[in-house]
Amino acid sequence: MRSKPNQEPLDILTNQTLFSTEEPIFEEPPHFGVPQSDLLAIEDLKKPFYLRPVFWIEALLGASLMLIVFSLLFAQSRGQILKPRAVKQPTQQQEQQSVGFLKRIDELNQNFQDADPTKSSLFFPPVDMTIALDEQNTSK
Amino acid sequence: MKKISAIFLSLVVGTIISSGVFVTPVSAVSSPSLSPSPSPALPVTSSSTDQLSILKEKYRVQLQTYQSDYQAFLVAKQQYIQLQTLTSLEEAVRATRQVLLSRTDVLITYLTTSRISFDQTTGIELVVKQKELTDLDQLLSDLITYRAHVESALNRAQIAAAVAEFMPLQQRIQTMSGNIQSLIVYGKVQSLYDKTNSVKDEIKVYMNKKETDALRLSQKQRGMEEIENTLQNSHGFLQEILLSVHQSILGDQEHQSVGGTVSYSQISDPLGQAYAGISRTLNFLKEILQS
Repeated sequence: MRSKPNQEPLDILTNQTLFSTEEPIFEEPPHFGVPQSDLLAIEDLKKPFYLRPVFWIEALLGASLMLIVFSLLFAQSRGQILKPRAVKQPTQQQEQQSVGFLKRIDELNQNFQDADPTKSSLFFPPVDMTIALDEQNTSK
Repeated sequence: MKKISAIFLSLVVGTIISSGVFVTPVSAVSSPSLSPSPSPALPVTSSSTDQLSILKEKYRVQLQTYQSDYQAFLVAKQQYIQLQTLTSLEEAVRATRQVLLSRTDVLITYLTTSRISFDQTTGIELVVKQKELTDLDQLLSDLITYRAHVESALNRAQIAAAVAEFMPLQQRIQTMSGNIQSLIVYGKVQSLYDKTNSVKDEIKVYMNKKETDALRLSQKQRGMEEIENTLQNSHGFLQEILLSVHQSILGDQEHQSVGGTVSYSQISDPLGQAYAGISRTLNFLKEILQS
């Protein structure tokens, strides 16, 4: 009924229904290890960094980012990308032009008041054009 | 390994941040220069303005003198009619001579003022302007001659001759006054139209350069089409007046022999239409600029 102390795998130790006669002979003991991962293999940690997949993924991402940034800078330096967005907002010069036009329209409105056809500063003088001493020619 | 990753990341972040240094500020993006040109100065010299002020004051004083002389003339004439004496006749002749002189002075000053105002008015065709100025100068010369005749008139017969001499002058003065007033009013509206049209063209170019939003640009272009139609209508009315002025002043010999008449009633309707069209245009232009 006793099992040998150097041959005590887990099931043998825990399964009390087993008898010593049923003890497997020359059987490999069970292995209780940490589950292995492809990415985080313990062996990988021991490898140099340039052989690790994580390094190459980071490098690829970084290179892509750099490529985008430099592309933007290059395009901007040639005035191809940011220019339309800049034009959307009126510049100070455009504001001044707009104010200048409004001022001119105000001046035209003043001229408009002066040009009113119903108003004249040159009324014919209120004089009697038929002055005469002789009665037959006199009329106001 | 961590150190290498940190260095790599800081390099990337640093590049992004430093790129902001090279970004051109939005306001620094310049557009083609389109500054509104200064409005043309009116050809009004200070000496002409001073001369007008002096003439207006002179006209005011002369008109008061005329009114006083005219009252004296009415009294003297009434006394002569009632009394029928040589003294009252002498007094009536003297009062008539005096009122004829003061009336002529008023008319000369009035026509001189009109001449300066007419000469200063822009928007009138040069040929028409020159013709009217020549006629006006001739009329003023004739009035000065007439005044000399009145001044030398000392008896009843000479006064009667002076009164008769004034008859044709009266018609010329009234015709010329009507022409000058009508042309000044027309010239002001025509000048206003020209300036408005010029500003409209500049605003149109400015708007096309400035506006980048296709929807807003399309809306403004529709507004600009309406403005152009309105201005075109005003132009049509002004052309109608110009044709009328040409026919009256520069027309056939028959018209020229009587000096040509451009009455205000003749041009008032198309002139009012053109004036209203310019008013609408100015409001439209302001609306487009403020939108």
